[in-house]
Amino acid sequence: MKLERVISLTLRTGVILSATLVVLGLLLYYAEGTPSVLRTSSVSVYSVFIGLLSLKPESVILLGVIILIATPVVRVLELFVDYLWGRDKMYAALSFVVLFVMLVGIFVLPFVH
Amino acid sequence: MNPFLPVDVFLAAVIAGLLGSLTGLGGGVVLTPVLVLFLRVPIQDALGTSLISTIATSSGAASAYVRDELSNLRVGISLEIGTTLGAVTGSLLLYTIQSHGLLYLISIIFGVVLIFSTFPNFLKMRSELPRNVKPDYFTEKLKIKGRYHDDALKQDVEYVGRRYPFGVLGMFFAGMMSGLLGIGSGAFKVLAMDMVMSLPFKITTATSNFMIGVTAATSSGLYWFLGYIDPLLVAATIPGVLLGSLIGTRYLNRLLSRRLRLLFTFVLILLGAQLILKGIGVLP
Repeated sequence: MKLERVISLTLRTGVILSATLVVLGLLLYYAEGTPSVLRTSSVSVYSVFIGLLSLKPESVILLGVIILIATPVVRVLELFVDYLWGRDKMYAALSFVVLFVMLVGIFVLPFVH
Repeated sequence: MNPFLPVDVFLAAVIAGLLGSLTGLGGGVVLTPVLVLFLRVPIQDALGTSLISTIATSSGAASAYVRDELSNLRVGISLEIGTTLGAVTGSLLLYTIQSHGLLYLISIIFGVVLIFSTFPNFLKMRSELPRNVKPDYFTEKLKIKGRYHDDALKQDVEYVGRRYPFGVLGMFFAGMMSGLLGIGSGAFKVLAMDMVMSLPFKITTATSNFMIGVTAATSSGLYWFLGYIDPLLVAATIPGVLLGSLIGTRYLNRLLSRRLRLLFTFVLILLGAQLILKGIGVLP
C-alpha cells in the first residue's frame, strides 16, 4: 500500500474510533445519571483502563481522547518506518526527532516542573 | 451534575466548526471564545477542550488531503521539528502563567491572536501561483518540492520551497501559540509556508492541516496533567466540531460569496475584541 494511503487510513480510523467512544461515553454518563465532577489531573492512564473494566463513562470518554492523541503519534511513527525502509537517512532522522519531541511532550513534560 | 448542558456545548461546537471552516481559521480558535463568552466556561477548560477538538478536526481534514496527495509529507515532517518544540515551550509557558495566577493574560493574548489570524482573509485572494522561486541549499538537501494537480487552473503544477530555516523559525512561533492557547495555529503555519517559503496556497493549507494534529498532541500531556481536559465538555464538543466543519467544507463553502465570508470574519474580530475586554476586566 502507498504511504499516503496508510497515513490517510490511520487518521480516519483514529478520528472515527475516538468520536464513537466519546459519544458512547456521553450516552453512558446520562444513562447512569450519577453526578461526577472529574479533573484529568487526578486521572492516570492506568486508572482509565481500570475504569473501563466497569464501563465507567468518564473512562470510555478518556479512552477516546487517548486514541485521538495517539493518532498523530502513530502517523509520525509510520513516516519514520517508511523513511527507514526506503533508506532515506535524512528524513528518518527528522521524523525520529519529531517523534521524540512528541513523546517528551506527552509523557515527560507533565512530570518535570 | 456538570453545570454545562451538553446540548448547549454541542451546538456551540457545531457553530464553531462551521465558522472555523468558513473563515478558514479552523474550529479550535473559534471554539474557545464561544465557550468562554457565551457558555461561561472557565478559560482553562475551554483551552483544553479546544486543543483536543483541534486534533479531531485536523486529523479528519488531513486524511482527505493526504489521500489526494495535496499534503506534502516531507514539508510537513521537516517543519514539525519547529512546531513540536514550539508546542513544548508554549505549554510550559501556559503552566507558568497559570501557576502565577495570571490566566486573564491568556484571554487577552487569545483575543489578539484571534484578530491577527483573520488578517490573511483581507488580503487579495491568492489564487495565482508563486513564480520564479529560486531553489536554495535546503530545497535540494531536504527535497522540498513536488507536483500536484490544480483543479481551478486545470493543470499539473510543479513547485519548490525555499528558506527552510526561516520556515522552521516561523513554525516554532506557530507551535508556541498552539501550546499556549490550545489552538491549531493554522493561520501562522500557512503564513510561514506561504510568505516565507513561497509554497503554493493549496499545498500550504493541506500541509498545515496535516501538521496541526502533531503539534496539538505534543501539548496534550501537560494539558491533561493540569486538568484542563474535562471529559464531558470534550465529549460533547468533538462530535459537534466534526459535524460543523464537515457541513462547512462539504456543502456551504461553495455556496458562500466572498462578502458573506468577510462578514463572518468580522464576527470573529468582535469575539476577539470581547475576549480582550474580558481579560482586561471591562467585561464580566
